[in-house]
Amino acid sequence: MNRNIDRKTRALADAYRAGKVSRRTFVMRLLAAGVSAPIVAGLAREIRPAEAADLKGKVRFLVGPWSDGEVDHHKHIAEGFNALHPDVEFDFRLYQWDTASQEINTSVVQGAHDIYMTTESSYPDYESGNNFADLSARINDPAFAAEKAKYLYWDRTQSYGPKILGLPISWHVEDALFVNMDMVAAAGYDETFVDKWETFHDCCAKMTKKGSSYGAGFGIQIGGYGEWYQVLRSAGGSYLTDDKKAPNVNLPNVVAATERMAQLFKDGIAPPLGTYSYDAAPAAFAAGKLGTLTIDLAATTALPNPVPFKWKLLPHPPGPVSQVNFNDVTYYMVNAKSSDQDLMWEVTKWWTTGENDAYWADNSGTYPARTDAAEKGYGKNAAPQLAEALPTYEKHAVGLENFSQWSDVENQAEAEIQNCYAGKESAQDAVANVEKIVKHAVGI
Amino acid sequence: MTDAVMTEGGRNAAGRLRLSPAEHRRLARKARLRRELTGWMFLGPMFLCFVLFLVVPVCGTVWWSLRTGNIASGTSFVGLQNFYDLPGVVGAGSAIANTLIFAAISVPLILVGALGVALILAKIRHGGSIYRFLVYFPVLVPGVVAALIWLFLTNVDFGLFNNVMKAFGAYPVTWLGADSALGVLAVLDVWRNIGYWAMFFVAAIIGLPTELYQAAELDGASTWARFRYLTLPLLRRIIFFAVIVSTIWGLQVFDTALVLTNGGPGTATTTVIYRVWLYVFASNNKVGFASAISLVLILVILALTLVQMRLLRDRRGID
Repeated sequence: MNRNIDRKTRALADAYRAGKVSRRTFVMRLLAAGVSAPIVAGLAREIRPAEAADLKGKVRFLVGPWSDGEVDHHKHIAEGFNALHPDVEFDFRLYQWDTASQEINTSVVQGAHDIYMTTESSYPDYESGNNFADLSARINDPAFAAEKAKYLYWDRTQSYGPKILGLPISWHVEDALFVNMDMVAAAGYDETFVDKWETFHDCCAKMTKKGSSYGAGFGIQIGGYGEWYQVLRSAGGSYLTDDKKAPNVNLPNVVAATERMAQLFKDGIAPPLGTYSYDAAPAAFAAGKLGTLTIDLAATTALPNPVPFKWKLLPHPPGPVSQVNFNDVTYYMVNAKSSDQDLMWEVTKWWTTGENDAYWADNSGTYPARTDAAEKGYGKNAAPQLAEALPTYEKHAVGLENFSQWSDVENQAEAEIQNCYAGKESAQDAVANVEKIVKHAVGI
Repeated sequence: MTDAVMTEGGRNAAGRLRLSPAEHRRLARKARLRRELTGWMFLGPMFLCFVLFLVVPVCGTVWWSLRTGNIASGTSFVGLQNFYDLPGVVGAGSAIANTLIFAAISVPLILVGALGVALILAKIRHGGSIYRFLVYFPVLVPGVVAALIWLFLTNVDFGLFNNVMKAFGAYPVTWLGADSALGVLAVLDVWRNIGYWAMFFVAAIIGLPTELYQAAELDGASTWARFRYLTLPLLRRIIFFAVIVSTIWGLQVFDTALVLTNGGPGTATTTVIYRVWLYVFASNNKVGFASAISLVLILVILALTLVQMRLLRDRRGID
């Protein structure tokens, strides 16, 4: 094995010296051959052509905690970069999901970090400001065209305005339905129980056992992100009309869809709000306390391996108008205040190569945003349920709306609707209040 | 006469230095000035901090409250519009109600509990410092850490509270549910602050004149009578201070609400300060609105403090 690696290494080194392969290809092939990153770094340094210009500096990342190993994943990607450019230092800091937008906004204004992992929910807001560097010129550079073609979601990204603020790294379903298929079978149903609200409700009711399990679990209860927005869209509503001039919330279908969600709580089929937090819910699902769990796909990294029962990822039941799954794209963006924009661009490109995107997404319970990720190793660690569910989620995908106050409205609206789920106000009042929130936030 | 016997150089016959009144005044002024300057030098750093961290932010809050937009991308002047909009905002009423309910639960419990603990601690003859440390310990725990501790205590599946419930054969309780989360938050606040005020009360009780109690005992006063007619009146100043300060703190609850419940479920634990925080950091154009709420809260706290002072001063006037 070692001799084989040695032979490959020598052949690659010769090819590299002869100019037959690029420096990047040389490093990536060494890594793919199983040579550890520190050794690759040593080799790359040792046989670096004299004319090779190198990058120097420090790059400070602020990223979200997709999994327990988030920082380690970035360190792994950084090792590959350092094999090419040993004089670049990295620092990785995590923000918390609950306070992500606050931490990112504060940091970017202060210039505290250089590269940010951001979610699409704040993209319209960032697009309207000047804190993140406009990467349009670099991304649309003809020299980058071949690489650009390998990224997904450009249409979606460019729909927010003329600037392109980041390179996409993942596509994420925020409200997947994790389903304990053993409990579903025991309730007398199969996976088609999500095809109609009535069967969904009945199956969840049958999976509920007082004091031990609930049929319909909600993992993002405190704070809330996207759960009700999905209900709103499935009922034909949206925060604003297409022309962005009026709210489009207080509709009879939206009230009805909200009411039937609230009924899950009234009937005791869903645990009272506050029972399971975002962090605690996956463990409750894995322990068989929840027959279904509404949560984002990153929860797949929090489940034990193997899960002690058969489980699937399914879409939510259809709403009064359509069946939708709310999702968003994750990006790497560069702080406009960072002094060495060339270095940041090189680092951002590296972090989103097919190999690195595949590696990160595979370990983060999300879908990579590159067409070449599958052939570059995606799927080694990710739960097989993810790949199985992808066509369904793509079929029902719905994203956010393009106005800069979207995340502002979303934060307040989800909390308001939770008051209805908690029995504190009627669905009619809660929906009417969301409409007021939209008007106040947007200034209509 | 005295002046007549003075020698050259301002010295009298005994060789002591004597100053003319004018010179005396000049030197006295100089000494006073030096004393004052020394005083200001000592006060200076504190005064600088006071201006930098209190006066400037409050002035900034007034300025921001008249504007709309956000700090990063700029603001524009809107006059008093933010104040006019306040009553109609969704969630404003519940935030005010939550804050007042929180203070109404936590402040009396803290003060009554602290007084009770202090009365017990004051009677302990041996090892009192250990008990005082144990009572004071939660005060040393930062709010965020305290909230994390209570997250574990209140966990539905493995929390201490529900384990006790299960031991008695009861169903698990959702402690952080919409009906109970604010109460849990208030109890957490009591747990954190009771030791702080207990230490104040212990110090005051230990300093009370014992001869009054001996006289009352000789007169046949019961324990309750001694507490009611001696201890309470003698502690009134410290109790007065504790009521005002703990009320102000109660109206400013934020950190534990953020960590323990994130303002939820729904808006069940969204307090006024929490809403200010949401408008500043989670909204993209509401810094002026958040400043307007902050100013109103400052005025409400000021008014409540004045009312409390008035009520308690009237009581004092009866003594």
